[in-house]
Amino acid sequence: MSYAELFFTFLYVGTFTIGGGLVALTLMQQQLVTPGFITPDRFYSMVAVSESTPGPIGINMATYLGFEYHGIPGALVATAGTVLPSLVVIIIIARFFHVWRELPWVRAMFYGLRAGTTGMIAVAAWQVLTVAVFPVARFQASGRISELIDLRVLVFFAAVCIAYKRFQLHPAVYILCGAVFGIVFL
Amino acid sequence: MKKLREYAELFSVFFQIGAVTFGGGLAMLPMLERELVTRRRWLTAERLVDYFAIGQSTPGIIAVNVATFVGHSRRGIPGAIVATLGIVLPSILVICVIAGLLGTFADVPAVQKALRGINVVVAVLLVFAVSRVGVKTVTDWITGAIALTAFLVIVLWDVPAVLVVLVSALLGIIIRLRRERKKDAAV
Repeated sequence: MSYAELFFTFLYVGTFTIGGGLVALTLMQQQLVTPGFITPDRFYSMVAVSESTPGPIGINMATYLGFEYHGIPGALVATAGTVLPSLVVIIIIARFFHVWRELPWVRAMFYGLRAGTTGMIAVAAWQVLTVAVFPVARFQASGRISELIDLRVLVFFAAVCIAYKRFQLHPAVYILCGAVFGIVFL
Repeated sequence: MKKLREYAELFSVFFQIGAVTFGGGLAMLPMLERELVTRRRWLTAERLVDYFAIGQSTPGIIAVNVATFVGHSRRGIPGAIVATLGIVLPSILVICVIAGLLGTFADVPAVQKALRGINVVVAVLLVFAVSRVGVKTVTDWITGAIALTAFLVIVLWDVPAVLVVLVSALLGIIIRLRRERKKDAAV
């Protein structure tokens, strides 16, 4: 992937990410994983790192993916591509914000847009579920039901769900638990 | 000189926020509120929520959009750029260091196992994030139908997200405006 491709790929991601980082994940997945520029496992390990390090997840992912292809210059190019559309759009909106805010059609548009966005975020969650918790691809390859339903993973998944709901600890704490679980049990 | 100091402050505020918030987006709201509304009184809490609403429904990463918006409200276009650089820089620094290190031992079996375990946790975090967002955005059966349809068309047919964005915005305009017109007619 050349610098220009990298830049325009992330310019595309930055332009059509509406609703935040999780939508960006879906877009990056469509742009990079589906055409085979990166394997799903590698992609989701990047998601894990981006989740457990400071900063907005979308920016972390862009930096990380850019670094993967071209080191530090790649990281800068990918991040610049991601940020540029919002910089331009937000500056324009900020200028006319007070005028647009109350227009009925603008409010109506946000009403539909937010719902569609929620569906898109759900896709990001679904895709991680089908890689990490119910590995559909591995099941289809082997045909063994034991590949699809791994009791160790399911028990751990349920435990984290309960713990996360109960104790509002920092996400990094759960990420650390996940790493320990993986090393010991998988 | 005074101008320069203001730019420096703008940069450092967003650099700090970028350096200590994990996940970005909504996770940033409490930090922003403390730094910008309570401590510096740069804007009201209501205005901050407005910025979030816009950041959420315009292109780009929400955290970056909010930073750009606040930067612009303080010091125009240069302010917008300075604030954006501030929020992005911690990510670039941290990720480049980690990527540089991880690249060398990402193939070690123990690391791969750890990452598989971590992915299970990521799944949990995402599922909860979706439910938190969903509670706020899915307020009636129409928004529920739009959200569900968006989910299904992407999962089943890999429909480009762009199309989903455009169609749901259009549906919002058509349905909501028609409903409001009906209400007005009834009155």
